[in-house]
Amino acid sequence: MMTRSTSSVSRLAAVLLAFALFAAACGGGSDSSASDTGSDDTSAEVDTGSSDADEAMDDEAMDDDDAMADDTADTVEVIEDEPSDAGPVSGGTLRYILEADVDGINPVSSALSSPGLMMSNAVFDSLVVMDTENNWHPYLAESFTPNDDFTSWDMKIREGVSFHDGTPLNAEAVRTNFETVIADPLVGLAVAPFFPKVEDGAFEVIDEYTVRYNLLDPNANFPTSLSAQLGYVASPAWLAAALDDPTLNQAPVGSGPFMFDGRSEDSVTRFVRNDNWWNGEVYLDAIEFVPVTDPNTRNELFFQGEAQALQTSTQENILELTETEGVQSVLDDTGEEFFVMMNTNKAPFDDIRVRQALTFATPRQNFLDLIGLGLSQPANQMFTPSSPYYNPDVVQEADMPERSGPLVAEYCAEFADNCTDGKIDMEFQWSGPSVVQTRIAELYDQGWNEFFNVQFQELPQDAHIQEVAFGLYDVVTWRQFGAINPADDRVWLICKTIGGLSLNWPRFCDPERDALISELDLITTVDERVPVLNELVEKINQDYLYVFMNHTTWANSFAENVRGICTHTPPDSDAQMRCSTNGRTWHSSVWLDE
Amino acid sequence: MRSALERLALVILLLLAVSLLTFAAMNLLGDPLFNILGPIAGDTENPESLAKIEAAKEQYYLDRPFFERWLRWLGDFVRGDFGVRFASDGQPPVTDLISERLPRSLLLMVMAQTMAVLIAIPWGIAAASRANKPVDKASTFSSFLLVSLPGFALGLLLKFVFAIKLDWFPLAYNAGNPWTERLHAFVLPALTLALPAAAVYQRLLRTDLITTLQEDFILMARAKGVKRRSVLFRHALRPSMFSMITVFGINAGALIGGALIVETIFEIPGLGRAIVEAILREDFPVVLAIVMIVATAFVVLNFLVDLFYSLLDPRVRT
Repeated sequence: MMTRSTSSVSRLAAVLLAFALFAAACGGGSDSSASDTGSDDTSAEVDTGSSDADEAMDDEAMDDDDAMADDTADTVEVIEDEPSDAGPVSGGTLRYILEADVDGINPVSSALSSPGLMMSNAVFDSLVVMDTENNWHPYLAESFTPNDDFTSWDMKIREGVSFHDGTPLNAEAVRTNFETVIADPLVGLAVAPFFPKVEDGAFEVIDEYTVRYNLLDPNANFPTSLSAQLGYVASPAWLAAALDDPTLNQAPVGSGPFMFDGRSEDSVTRFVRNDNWWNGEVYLDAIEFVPVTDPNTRNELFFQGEAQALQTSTQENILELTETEGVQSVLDDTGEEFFVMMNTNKAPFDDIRVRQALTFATPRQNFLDLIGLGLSQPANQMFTPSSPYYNPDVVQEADMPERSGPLVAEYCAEFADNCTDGKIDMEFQWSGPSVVQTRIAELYDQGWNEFFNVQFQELPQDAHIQEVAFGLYDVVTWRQFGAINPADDRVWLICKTIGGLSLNWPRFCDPERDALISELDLITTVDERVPVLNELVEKINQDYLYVFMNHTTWANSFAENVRGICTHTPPDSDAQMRCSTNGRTWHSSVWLDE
Repeated sequence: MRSALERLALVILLLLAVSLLTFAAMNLLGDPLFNILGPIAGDTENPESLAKIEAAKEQYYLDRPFFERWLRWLGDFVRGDFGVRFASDGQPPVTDLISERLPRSLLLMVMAQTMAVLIAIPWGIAAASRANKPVDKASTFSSFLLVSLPGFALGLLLKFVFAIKLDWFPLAYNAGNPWTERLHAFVLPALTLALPAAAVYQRLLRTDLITTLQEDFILMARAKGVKRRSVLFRHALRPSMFSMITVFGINAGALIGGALIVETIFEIPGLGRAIVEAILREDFPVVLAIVMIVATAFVVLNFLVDLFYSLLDPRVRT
């Protein structure tokens, strides 16, 4: 897509994605009464699923029809099903084209964007995986047992698993991973707020194969947070070595289906089959990841047969792939949303009338037509229409400049210092240099300049992130949300992440919203979540913090002879794992039908 | 000898000036602490963040005066230590990046210059030996066309025709391929750089050749019955290459600039792409190292070209 083409934007996205991925590790709000009430309710819910809260919450528990969300399953779509065949065949190398490369493949210190997570899926295993119904399943973990109020989770680790360097997977290995991630200055940012300090017992080793996570706030869905980057477990010996020699971040050692073989940064990263993988047979001899930054070249390489798989989020290329016969595509539009964001912590956007005026004056349709080329899916909220949590009553207001005038006149009459010539003074900031972002800014300004004196500020990505994190902005373009478990997006919304350095970027604190999120943290069923999330989405909409533009669609496309794309299963379960999440797929079940 | 030493001193002075200017420019841009620590680099009111900020400053000498930092960096650079990549995970050494990327860029340059010379010489001779005839006019037109065409446009055109439509060359470089395929992937990017350079060399060679062909010694050779081909290649070519070789050295700088675009178009992970990414990410140790390597290569190459003149023309030895 045109909105994601420069390295600086990729870096920004990677940093934010790191936040998003780790934000998941978290408790709920701080309203104790809500937690207390919720605690009782959800204990009962988990009991129903697993027969007893003291027993491990295992696969069966989470396979229950009532368990967890199934919001996004139907938006992951295989355009052309794989042809039926006799069975998997071993051998061959799959070449997979990625949108970009990453700085390193270390789950505890690298800000892993989608390409990084894709490569990580080859070499690492996560503690938890999500299935197509968005139920969580223990993976490297064997089971989870929460305490009564969900502030503490015991995790039993699978025995008999070894890392590629021969180091055994055990409680100490998980501890090393956790403590390293929480200490990391970048990746630890979004994890630390939800745990006590390490020295205060954030993590305990119970026995050789059992650990305990202690949370600051109750969270009945804590295991979902271990299904992404925080859940990858790396060899502790390698982690220690990588601290001394950072070049080792390029040569990851995990327990996954493939072992690291070689890497030439920005060109190719190769993994070879792990014949001793703990979760069954791996079919491919090797898998090579090739970053290609130009979207058209990506498609051409794929069509020429230079690669058998690719990931892309560029709309016109997705269209080309899905319209081509013989190409299998897995589509996922449940990822991040792109939006305009306002800072409510300082004038003039601390006043809801100004936020409304900007929202009404935003030329959203022009954005969708000219920037999204009419191909991207418009976003009204953080959920797509196919999600059970989608609230049809919440529609993103925009393109109504006639409603902005009276609000601006009223505001300027009251706060003349913040206005010039009857227009509100504001600054619009974005990360650059980026031609597309500049075009977007100019497009917005065409709608806004009737009511706002817009001063453009294009900043290098580091300064941009800093200014947003420290609340030194008026309005910015941004991209976030899209967690598999919607509650994992709490970090962007709750009051406790507002501070000197804030992850609640708009710096908008609403105790009622926090209470809803706390409630959400104690709910494990879709039906119960729907009204809470509907109300949450409504509140976000009514607070005029964001002007939602579009949903990001990811496509993972495969050549006709690639099989087993979506047939990966967790151990001890027939559940089918979620095929694609934010552009990453699984590799262990894939095979080539030559 | 004295002249060579003077030139060497000038080269060293030039490199010092380049390093100082680049170091100063990099220090004006961005905050290296952000690349190392992320947003907490600005969280100076939080004691925990502040401790990390101070530790990073101390570790990378960011709290030292400008000239001290420059001298430290210069000393390390001379010893082959180019510092660490601030914007990369774990801050790995820049040397690793350079040692991986430099051979690719060097290969691209060598291939491009070789192609340019191999194209320019017969092209220039053909044009000069048929001066002002249709062949020469067509040659003039095509050389001006190539010189006028921006590098990125030529690259995209070649890529579209020869890699996408005809499928004669790979679309992108892949370090995982066998060396023959990797070399094959360098042909189009090298040609993209070579064609405009060849056009320039051809123009210079043509002009010099036309002049040389009017010299008495050529007339003498012809009068003695030396064959036309022999006159052109054995007698006229060498003294006519003076301008071309001068520009050959200077053009190395332009090729390096062109390589930034060409490496991006053809997905070659060389120094060009590395510096583009480093600039966007304000990873100034990488930018500094590449600028210095390129500057050093440029001045050394031109120094060698100066020395090479004396081989071509004994009059320069004085």
